[in-house]
Amino acid sequence: MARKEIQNINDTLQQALDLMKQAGADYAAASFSTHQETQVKVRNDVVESLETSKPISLDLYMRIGDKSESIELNSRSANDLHDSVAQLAAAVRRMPDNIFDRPVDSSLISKVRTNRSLDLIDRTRVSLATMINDARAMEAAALAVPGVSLSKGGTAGWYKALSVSLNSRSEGFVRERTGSSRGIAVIARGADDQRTGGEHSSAVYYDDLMSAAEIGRIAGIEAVQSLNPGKALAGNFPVVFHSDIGTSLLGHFASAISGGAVRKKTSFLTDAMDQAVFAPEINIIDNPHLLRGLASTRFSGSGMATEPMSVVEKGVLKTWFMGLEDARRLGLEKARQIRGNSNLTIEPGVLSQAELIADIKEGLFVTGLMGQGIDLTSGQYSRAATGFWIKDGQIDYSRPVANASISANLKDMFRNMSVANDLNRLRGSAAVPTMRVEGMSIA
Amino acid sequence: MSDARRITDQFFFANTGMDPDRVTKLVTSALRQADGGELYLQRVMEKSSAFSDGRLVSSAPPSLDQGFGFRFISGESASYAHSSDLSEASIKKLSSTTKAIRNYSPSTGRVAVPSTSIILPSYYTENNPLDDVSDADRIKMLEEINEYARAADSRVIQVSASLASSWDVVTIIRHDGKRFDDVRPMSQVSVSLIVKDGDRKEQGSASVGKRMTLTNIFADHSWKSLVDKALHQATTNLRAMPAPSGDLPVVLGNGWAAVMLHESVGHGLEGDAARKGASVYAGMVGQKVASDIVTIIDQGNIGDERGSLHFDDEGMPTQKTTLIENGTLQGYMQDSVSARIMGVAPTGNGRRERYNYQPMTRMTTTYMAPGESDPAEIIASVKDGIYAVQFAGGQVDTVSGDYVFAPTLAFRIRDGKVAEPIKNAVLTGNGPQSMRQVEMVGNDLELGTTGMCGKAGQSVPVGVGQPTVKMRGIKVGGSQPS
Repeated sequence: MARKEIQNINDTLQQALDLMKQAGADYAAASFSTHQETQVKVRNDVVESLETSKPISLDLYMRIGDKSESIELNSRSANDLHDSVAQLAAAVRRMPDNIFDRPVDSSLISKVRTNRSLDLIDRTRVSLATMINDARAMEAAALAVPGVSLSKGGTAGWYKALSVSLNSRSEGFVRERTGSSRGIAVIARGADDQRTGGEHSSAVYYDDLMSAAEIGRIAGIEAVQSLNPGKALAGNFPVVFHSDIGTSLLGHFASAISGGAVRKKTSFLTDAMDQAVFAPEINIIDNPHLLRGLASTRFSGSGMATEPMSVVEKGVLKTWFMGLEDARRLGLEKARQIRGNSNLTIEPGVLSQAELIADIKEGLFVTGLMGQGIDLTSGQYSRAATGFWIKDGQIDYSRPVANASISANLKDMFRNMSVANDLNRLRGSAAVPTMRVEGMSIA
Repeated sequence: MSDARRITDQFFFANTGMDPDRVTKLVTSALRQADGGELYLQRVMEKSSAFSDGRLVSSAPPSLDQGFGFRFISGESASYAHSSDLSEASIKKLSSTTKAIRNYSPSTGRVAVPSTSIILPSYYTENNPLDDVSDADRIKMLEEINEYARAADSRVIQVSASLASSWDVVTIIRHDGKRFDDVRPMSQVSVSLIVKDGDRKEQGSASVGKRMTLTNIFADHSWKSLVDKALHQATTNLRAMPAPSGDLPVVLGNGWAAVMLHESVGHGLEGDAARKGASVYAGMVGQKVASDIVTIIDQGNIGDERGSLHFDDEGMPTQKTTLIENGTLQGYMQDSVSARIMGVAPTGNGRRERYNYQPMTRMTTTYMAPGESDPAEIIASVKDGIYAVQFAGGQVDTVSGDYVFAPTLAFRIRDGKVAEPIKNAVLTGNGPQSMRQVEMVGNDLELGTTGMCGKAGQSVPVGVGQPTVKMRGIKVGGSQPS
């Protein structure tokens, strides 16, 4: 974004900091976020929706002695800013002392204050016409797959986001990134069944997206193959998760090792540090320096420098994800990395997907999941799965399965997990290979 | 409703320097060649106090989110622009960018709007819930909740509680210049806790959220009752057995168990899904989609309910819409664009999460009408089945009708009696198939007290309700074969 815009933003931030100091702050921080976004939706070749926006958000944090609070507003007007700071100061004074929330020592603040080295800004101007064409192309490709009946719509979008922060010690950070995405969903109709197929792709750079033709083709094939599902066998079987679906399991793991949950003992992994949480062949890395990574950043939320870290090494848990306050409360403020997760990956194994499933006589290959039956306190996992039956070592695409319940405890799922070598980075900031979990209960 | 007008005049015009007549002219002229559309002005003020881990973790400075959204409808398409900058210049600039949609989707004629003004009764208070119960008193109450919960059972190892209030101020200026003003309160009390016994840990939670002040919530639901409910759920689950699996008859308790019908029929009966062919219920008006004893209604004008609105986010009055009557599909919920495409009257179900989103068909309060059976007889009629009373939420694939929902408190029924608690079950079914197998409907209709519905990335508060219901055609997925 233009230098002038960043200057204007810094002026607003300074104004907010000055107001907070006048209101009694010993330490204050302010951050301003904005983004520019365009989204189109095409259905049956017609542009159904066009959206543009440029929202703003201002976050203020104030500390008086050892009491602190924060507030969010999205107005830059002097009146609203004055009112908000007054409310914030009153709120701070109501809080109990919290020594754990003291600002991080200046010596630990990252020297690098922007993410320029991470290649997060795509200079290509993605025009509206391009997005409409892409959406049309996805739809055409999906409808061309024999058996696909109609389109639910294709979407394409582009955004550019900017966030600037500044504190009363004059430490400032700038975060800028672009993003592009596209996706399609279509419906296949049978005699008395209808099923959806979908695919999407997100990336920092427009040119890195999966092609529109490929997205459409995959969506169409998924819809057709899902028609007329049969029953899964009931009992205990291995369950294999498609690499795009397995990321959700990685997400549950990340939540279960987050500082707040661990400290408050609301997680089933509260006592698991340095224990064998995963099978010995599993290694999990979190890399915030991935070039063009969707969650890449050189500095954490509290301003400390980031570096890649090993979260799970040969199955053993090596670190939590935590903010500074939680780290201090846990007595871990000397930890190498005090931050949340970024680009989280289960490292690929050695076997191909075919080799990974070769010895499965009966099992389920999961391509979709529904339901909220995940309890991170007990570790219990119960969801409804859609996919294909695995028989005698092969995924049988002529045997689709829908809405089969799969359940187990995440503790056991992680310990009985093995992965293939097919890591897939085409969507989201989390990435996993095809994942096999032994002994899940299918009903 | 004059109070609402006074409040919105203050926030959107006096505070910002915008002139209501000039803004109205901006809207009508920008939409002169549109088939429909509106300017949606919104200011949401929210605050919450939260206690967790034995201490106050948040003391509620009120946050502020304000802005506008501008929609230009042409044919079956719409263009939308939004910003946080409440100024005539910004509205003018952004609204002019929206007419480009005409190049992609030509006009098909003006959307019909109700020609007469209806004087609406008041469904909820115009008082600001942020002013009710001082911050100091909120903090004191949270301390009391924490103390009571920890003392209630020695197995309690963690307690979280929060008190939240929000005031949502909205002005809609429609393409024909008509203006609607509404102030929408919401207050919520939530409690959750963790209990530990040996190496077993379980959680329990309870929450009440309604369009009223906290004081009025407490008149009907004491916070003690919420803690007791959460504790009962958590401690019962400590001794719960793994659930069986199979095609067992399921008895769903009254109230929040209606998440079942929210998933099994609710989403599938949203007009935007039906008109796009993306619902298993598309094209089925007039057909039998449920058993004879099932009547399902969506109603947006029930006083104080979290899903209620005076008018939807397009300015259409809310109403009672009978979706299924004695098993036969009567029609769908509609937003105004879907209603026009389907050639039916709008139903007041066009909602949006906030000004930065376009409206789409959403539920309000969706419930099953009470039937004739005595709930005790319903339980007694089951030889081997399950009885589920509290839930975590659910999900549906409206295209196929497949849905799933998970109980957080459930019991086995053996020989007509409620037996041991069970856990880790997931309930799956298919909408039309399972609703045709509803066998008994109780006379004890109750509305749930919580609920957020997510659709296409937009979250809105909704209500659900039902009497005790017995049904088959739901598969119970547990970890034990039955």
